[in-house]
This record gives sequence, structure tokens and C-alpha cells, in this order.
Amino acid sequence: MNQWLHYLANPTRMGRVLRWLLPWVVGLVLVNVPVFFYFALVASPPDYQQGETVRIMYIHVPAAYMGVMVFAVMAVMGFFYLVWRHEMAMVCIQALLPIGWVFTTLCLISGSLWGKPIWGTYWVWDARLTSVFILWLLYMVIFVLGRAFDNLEMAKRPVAIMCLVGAINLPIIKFSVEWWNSLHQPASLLRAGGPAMPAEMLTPLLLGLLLASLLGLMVFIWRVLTILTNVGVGRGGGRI
Amino acid sequence: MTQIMAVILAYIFVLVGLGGLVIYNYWQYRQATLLDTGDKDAQ
Repeated sequence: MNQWLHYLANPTRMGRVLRWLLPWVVGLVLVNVPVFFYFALVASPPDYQQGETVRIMYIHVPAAYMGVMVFAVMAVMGFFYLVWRHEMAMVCIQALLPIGWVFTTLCLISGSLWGKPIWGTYWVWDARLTSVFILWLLYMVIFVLGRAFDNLEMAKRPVAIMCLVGAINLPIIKFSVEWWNSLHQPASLLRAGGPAMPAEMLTPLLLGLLLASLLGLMVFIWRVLTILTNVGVGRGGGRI
Repeated sequence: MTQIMAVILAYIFVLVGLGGLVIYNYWQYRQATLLDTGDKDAQ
């Protein structure tokens, strides 16, 4: 594992691996898009309580999952940067930041649109909603931090530290529905006893998770290759 | 807001948000790789 990470820390090798991976990921995304929309909007039935709004769950849950997972990867990259000074780790943070921000924004918007017909309100300062809002703010803070210095070299260390510090929020998001009385429902996918939903609703949800992961990976590859081509690594150029 | 309206709005936001992310970054990637290979005509 350690050897593999140091292997990928070389920009040339990383670029080669990503260029090989790119057509496969793009192909899988193109195949998955119509399949996901068919299952999410046509094949799956309306819920007996939520009605048609259950279809928002198929985009809301993957968006939330990506928002959290992308930040977790950014925290790991921040750790690699602080410990080994791997420049590629900072390139990964640069590439991941807007991806995680967009997914978290979509999570908040889709959740609000689901909340209005079901809860009767777009927003409540509930533990889960507030902790995800803090995650959204953390993405913004890192973005601003990356641009607050004269050049990227000066910003790298504070950005890496912020990624690590911000990761404290991730378990709070996950367990907020258990630690506090929350309007948001508890976990229905990753829980003891298996997923709490029928197969016809589980299928579009899993397809949504797969599509969001592939889409995030595709954009990540494009962004890393763009950064490597435009500014190179360790030349002090570019912006977070 | 009706349930159908909420679903339509949510999917529109996702399509616009992710579509924008994909198109912008693909465009940036194309520009960078075209510049890198010196394909002046395609620029």
C-alpha cells in the first residue's frame, strides 16, 4: 500500500495511470446515465408514504455520500502532504475541492426540495442538516484559504491543515442522527440488519451511488490532468 | 409545492449542477491537452 502510494506520488506515473483509466470511466458513465434515469424515474414505484418525492432520495443520498467521501479523501491527501510533502496530494486536493462542493450543494438543495412536501419546510436547524451545512462552509473556507495567499506555495500548508481539521465534522455528520433527536431519518442503507428498503427502490439508489462515484472520478481525472498540464507540480503555479 | 414539482426541480438542479461541472472541466481539460500537444488548428 505504502509502495503503491509512493509510486503514484510521481506526476508522470500518476498521469499515465489516469490517462489509461479515463476512457473506461467515461464509458461506464455514459452507460450508467440512461440506466440510472430509467430505474429512478420509470421502473421504481412511488413510496406509500412519500409518494413521488421518494425519487429525490435517489439523487440526494448519492450527493450526500459524495460530499462526505470527497472531503474524507481530501483529509487523507492533506495528511500525505503534511507528512511526506507529496505534491501530488495537493494536486488531488485542488482537483477534488469543486467536485465535493458541487455535490454538497446539490445534497442541500435536493434535501430542501424533499423537505417542503414531506416535512412542510425547506430547512430546519437540525443536527444532520446543520452538520452538512458546516461541511459546505468548510469547502468554501478551503477554497478561500487557497486564494488568500500571494501564491499557491504559501497556501498549501494551511489548506492541508484545514482539510485535516475539517474531517472532525465527518463522524458528526454520520452519527448526528443517533447522537441527537433529529428530524432527519436514521441510516437506512448502511445499518445492522441490512438495507431497510425493497429491491425496486434499492436498485436506483445503488445505481445513483455508482453513477455519482464514476462521475466524480471522471471529473477528478480531467482536473488532475489539466492541473498537471497547465502548471505542472511544484512550480508554484495554479490556484486551489 | 406539489410532490411532482419538487421532483422535477430537484432533478433540474442536479442536471444543471453536475452538467455544468462536467462540461466546464471537460472544456478545461480539452484546452489544456490541446495546448500541450500544440494542436493550434483545434484551438
